[in-house]
Amino acid sequence: MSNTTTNSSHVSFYDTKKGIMSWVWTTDHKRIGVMYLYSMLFFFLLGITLGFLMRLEMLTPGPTIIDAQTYNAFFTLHGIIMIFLFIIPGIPAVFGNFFLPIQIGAEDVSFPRINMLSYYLYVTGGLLALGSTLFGNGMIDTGWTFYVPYSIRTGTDVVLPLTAAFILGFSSILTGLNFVTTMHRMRAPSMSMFQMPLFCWNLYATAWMQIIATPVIGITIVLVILERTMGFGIFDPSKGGDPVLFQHLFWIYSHPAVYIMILPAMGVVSEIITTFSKKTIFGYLAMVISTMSIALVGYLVWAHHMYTSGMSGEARAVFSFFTFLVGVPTGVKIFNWVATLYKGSIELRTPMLFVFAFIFIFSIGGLTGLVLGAISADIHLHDTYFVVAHFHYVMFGGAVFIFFAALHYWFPKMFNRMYNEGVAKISVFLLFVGFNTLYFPMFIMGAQGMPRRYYDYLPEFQIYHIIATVGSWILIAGILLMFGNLYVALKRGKRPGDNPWGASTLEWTHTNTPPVLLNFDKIPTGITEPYLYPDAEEGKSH
Amino acid sequence: MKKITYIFLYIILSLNLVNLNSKEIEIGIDEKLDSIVDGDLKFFDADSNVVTLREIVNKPTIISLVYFNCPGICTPLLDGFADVLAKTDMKLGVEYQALSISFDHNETPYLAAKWQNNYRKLVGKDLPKNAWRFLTADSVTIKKLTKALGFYFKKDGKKDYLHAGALITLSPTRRITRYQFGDKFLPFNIKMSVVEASREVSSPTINKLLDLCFKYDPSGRAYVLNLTRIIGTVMLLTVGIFATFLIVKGRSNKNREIS
Repeated sequence: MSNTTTNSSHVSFYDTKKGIMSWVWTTDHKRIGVMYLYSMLFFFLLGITLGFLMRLEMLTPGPTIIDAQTYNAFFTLHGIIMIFLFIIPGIPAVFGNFFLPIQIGAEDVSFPRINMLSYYLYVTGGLLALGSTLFGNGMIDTGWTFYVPYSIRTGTDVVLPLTAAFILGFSSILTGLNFVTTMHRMRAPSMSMFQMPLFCWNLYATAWMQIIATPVIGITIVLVILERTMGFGIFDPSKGGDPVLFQHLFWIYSHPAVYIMILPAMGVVSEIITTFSKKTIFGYLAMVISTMSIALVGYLVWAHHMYTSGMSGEARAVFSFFTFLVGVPTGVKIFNWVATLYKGSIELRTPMLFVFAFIFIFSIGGLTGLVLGAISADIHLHDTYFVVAHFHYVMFGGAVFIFFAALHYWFPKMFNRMYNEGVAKISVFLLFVGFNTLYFPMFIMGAQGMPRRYYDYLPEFQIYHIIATVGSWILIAGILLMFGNLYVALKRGKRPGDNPWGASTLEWTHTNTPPVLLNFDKIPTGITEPYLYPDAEEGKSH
Repeated sequence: MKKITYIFLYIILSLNLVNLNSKEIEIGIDEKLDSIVDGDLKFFDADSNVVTLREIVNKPTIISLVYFNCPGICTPLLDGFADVLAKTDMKLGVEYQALSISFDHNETPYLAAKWQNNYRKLVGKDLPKNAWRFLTADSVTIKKLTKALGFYFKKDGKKDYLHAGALITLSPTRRITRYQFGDKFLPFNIKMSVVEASREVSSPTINKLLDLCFKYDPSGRAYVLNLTRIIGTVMLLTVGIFATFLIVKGRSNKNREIS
């Protein structure tokens, strides 16, 4: 892409309007992205606290710090907060909102007011979910999956958290619609779909999944609410309903949701790897195709969560086959990332270290996913700590590590401040060590039969629980150090300039730091390809 | 790729074979869904004419296997059927037809004619001719027919039979599409079974919609709302509308004006 064309006498989007109301009524995609960021960090810290307390509880068998019912409520809330309020909206809502329009040379998203509505729906959903812990008959204890018939019969408050999830679903659909429309209609005139950065392509695939899959969970939630309040007999077996139908409907959304969580992260990885190896991505088209393939095949694997729920042998074989098939495009991506690094001019900056940690952790998460995708192994491992370890390796080690990577990558552009790289690197190290110490023992105890969601356990599992709990302390130390470092940077970090990483996409080359209200002084023209590093050695090898 | 496909097919087929288990039923019904009944079977109609199944079955057909001197379930079964006919909005003789076939080879067309007239009176005079036929046959034909339909009965040692009661729906190509058990029938189930059986021929749009939204639950032996299909259809429609919007609207002019 062409050289930086920004000027220094600009008014950033922070300074265009002042005062609290300028934030409350804003339709600027960047401000909305920043508001999402702060809201999500609040929910994330809440979720982490619950996780920390649960881990502490598991330090010894029997009661340690909380009672069994509170433990049930904690793992439910931990799941709801982390999944519905943090990881699913995570990268698209924060970094997608902020950078998608800029990366495609647009001045805003297609429907700015709907974007604002999405944000307020998100906040409403989040507050309702939290409110449900204070009002009603006690904190929900169904697990984040809301499985019937328990969710129909439990005495705790289920309707309010379900309503929250329904509203959050709406927010997600609206964001998806907005992003797809933006990418189709708002690209800079000289940019074709195949000249969009890969982050945009990943958001594109994610947005389609949000649009298609989220209504299913919406309808399902409404049916459960009707069943609970008006006694419909759709899922309740005592009224002739079918609880397995609920599981199907739930996973038809919630498995694609896993890809809603991970695909944007994969997009960020592509951005960071090209930037810090100063090379164009290896196999751009293959990356686009694999992204869309993951989105497509990701729809056809939901019942691998239900191998033990009662299904025909044929159905299990088909779902297992498709589960293995998803591994192919994922493998293509990992291969292409590594091939991009090959002969690149690699800089080990903080975002890149996060990406390396991600590739290591996500590979373990992906491979153990194949173990669970195999029917015979899954029958043994279903509902054990092995599953807990697997999805934390994929969700936390995958999506959340890359959320942190994206935060460190785009932080200078968003806040016009640079953090201390030395401290940031120590925090990556602590996160990596803490993460593996926390979750790896869970694979072992899961394989040995430690069931998930259990408050108590047999003494032979204690050593693994002790290691995991110590790991959680290291992990939390890393998280606190990381946020502390970013907070200090916000207050007195150095000014980074427009393109501190020497990156090649439009948000670095064509906008100021922080960007102006409508992003560009002039809409970029003459766009060729997203990752062009003519000065770097081997830069044009592909 | 071909190899993988074959291996995959092999796995699926072998799983199928494991599930095969057959057991002999003495009295009762062994559902033979999707099998086709021989069209050359010959019957006597109420006027003593010889007719073949191929000639008669040209639209969805609901068969009841009874015998006319039956002291048990046969009359309640036929009464139940006659009762539900009045409640459905489909026209017997136009959109579908009924056959009541005696499985007692000693019974004659004369007896069949008597029953046919009785039920014609019960249902109403505007019933088209041949809308609900009563048939008899020889013992070989009866054996072939009942075996094909999976209907097993036995003499009780005196003059009567031990047997089950059911309505069996055939498609116009004599494919068995549904079994409905008991002697009380729901108009909706009758309608759905006819709609399903008529898939091979054209049917009104409203019926196609019903067919899309409901599925047969084999364990409950009734039609239930096909939730997953409805949700899927709504989703695809929404996506289709949205995709059409994107294609029709093309690129926005906003950016061009600024540049």
